[in-house]
Amino acid sequence: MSFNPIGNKAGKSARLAVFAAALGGVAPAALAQATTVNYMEVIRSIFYLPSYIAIEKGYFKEQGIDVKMDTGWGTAKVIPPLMGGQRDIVLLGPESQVYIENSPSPDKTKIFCQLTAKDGLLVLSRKKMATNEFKWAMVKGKDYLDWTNGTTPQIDSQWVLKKHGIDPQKDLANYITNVASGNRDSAWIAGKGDFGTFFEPTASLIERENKGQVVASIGNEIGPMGFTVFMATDKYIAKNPKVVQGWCNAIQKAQNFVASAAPSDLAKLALPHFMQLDYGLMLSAIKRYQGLGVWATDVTYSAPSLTKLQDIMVAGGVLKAEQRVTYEKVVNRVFSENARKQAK
Amino acid sequence: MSAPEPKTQAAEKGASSEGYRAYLAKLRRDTRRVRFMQVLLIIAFLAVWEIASKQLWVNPMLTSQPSAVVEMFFTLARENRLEHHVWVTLKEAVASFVVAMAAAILIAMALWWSQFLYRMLDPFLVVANSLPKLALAPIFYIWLGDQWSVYGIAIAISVFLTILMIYGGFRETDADKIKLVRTFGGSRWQVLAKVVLPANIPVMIGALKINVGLALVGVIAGEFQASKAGLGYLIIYGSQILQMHMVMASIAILALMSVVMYLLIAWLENAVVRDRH
Repeated sequence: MSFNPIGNKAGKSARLAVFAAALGGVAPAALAQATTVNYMEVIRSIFYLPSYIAIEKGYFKEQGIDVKMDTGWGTAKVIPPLMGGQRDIVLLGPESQVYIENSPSPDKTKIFCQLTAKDGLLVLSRKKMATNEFKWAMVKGKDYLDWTNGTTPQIDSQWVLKKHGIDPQKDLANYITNVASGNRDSAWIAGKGDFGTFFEPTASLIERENKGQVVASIGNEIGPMGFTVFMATDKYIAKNPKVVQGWCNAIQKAQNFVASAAPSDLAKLALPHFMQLDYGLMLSAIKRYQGLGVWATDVTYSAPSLTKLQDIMVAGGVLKAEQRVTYEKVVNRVFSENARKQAK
Repeated sequence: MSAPEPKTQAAEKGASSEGYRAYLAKLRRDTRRVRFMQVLLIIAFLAVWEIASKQLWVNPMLTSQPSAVVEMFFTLARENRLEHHVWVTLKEAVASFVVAMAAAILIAMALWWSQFLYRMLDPFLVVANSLPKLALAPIFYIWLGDQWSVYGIAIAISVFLTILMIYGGFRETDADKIKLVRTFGGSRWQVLAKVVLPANIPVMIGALKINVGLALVGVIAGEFQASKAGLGYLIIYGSQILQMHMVMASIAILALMSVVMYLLIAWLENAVVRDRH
């Protein structure tokens, strides 16, 4: 095997050309004086559609914001960069805000804008059922594939089971919570569980593969409760109020667009962010979520949402009753209310 | 770790000259100084951690602090069935490394017995050893299911290195001793049982020490994948609900566990190696 450290001449000029092009790409952005926002989302999901629409339709650019997005793949991975200042704005579940508020951290954060208004989990049944045939009592004595202990999908789903008088520890054959979230889809497909909760597009994928059918929506069972929100540190908000306001405006505009646009248009716009995802599945997921009304037409995270969230957290054992936080401490509604007024 | 001390104490009893006694006393002083510095280092580390957290040089939400960790020990013991989690991890680790050691010794014996077998399997063993088994954790989970994958990963991580270590020791066994047994008409089996195995007890003890760490790595990796109990489970659960104290406490207990297991093996080593002399 020969090893030529310098590379051939053609390779060298190709590399120079790429380098020059990259420099050229950077220059115009620097001249445009847009503010760069380092943005991290907790996972990549069709559930967060309005955020991708805001990027693709240029709503952020209109507000003078240049978004640098990446995905953390887990709450625990998003919080350190947020607290350390490497990320300016993050997309997380609001329960993280409750945890941060209760923590000894000297820096605190605020929720300033809401993305999803409902839990997006769908309940799948392995056996096919007629419409409206499903009754919650049917899960008794069966295997229920839930999320890992302590995560918001798990405490939400557990709350709904208890609401219907089902004790997961006693009334189910197996309450399965020890499957890591990355493995849940393949576990279901491999045959684990008679009932289980999944987000889109997994739910559509399972239906398409004939491995199950959607029979209920956790979001509808819980009712409206902000499920995903944008957060930033108090320091960042104090230093960059215009950017935060611009962010809310862009998201509100995207929400308005998503509420009325055709699913196929939305799917086409979101496609660049879901290169691995089957177009048909994406379309099915968007249709279902539109029908369920999961996207927040009002970007203000409400007080009732926080109350309901904390009720569920206390019931789920992840929060002690005396650790409940007040709305004013964790939410800044100024920006979101302005955004709603502006985007009329 | 504590090997020099018994020798110097025993030797001192029979020490004849003034100079020799002074030399032994100096050895003891040096050991005391080393111990003192080790304790100081631990205290300094804990102190810096606690102060940095209290003074907010670091974000206490992300680093936790020794005082909170200690408090969390008691909370976990009271409310979260800490004994159960410790027992689960301990049981998985011990079972895995016993199986890995036994399998490795048997396989090394087979390789020693048949040169042909060794030549055939050698490249595969080397590849299997270099391959990061942690990367296979999801595959173990799919093949073995949530309960057995933990053992599978832990055994896979330990066994290949141990086979190579023990076989290496077998090969290095003093050829003269082997020739001696052969000239007395000993069979290959007797060579194996009376020369090779006894001569390689130090190698096997060394392998035990390494396996303790590797088995724990495998068990925790397996628990991260899919567990309902164990210290790995507590670490995941704690990080999901942003309870760094729980994570740090679990890690501290893990560290304690591995130290205790190592000390048990060192004690075993002292007992076994001393007997042979």
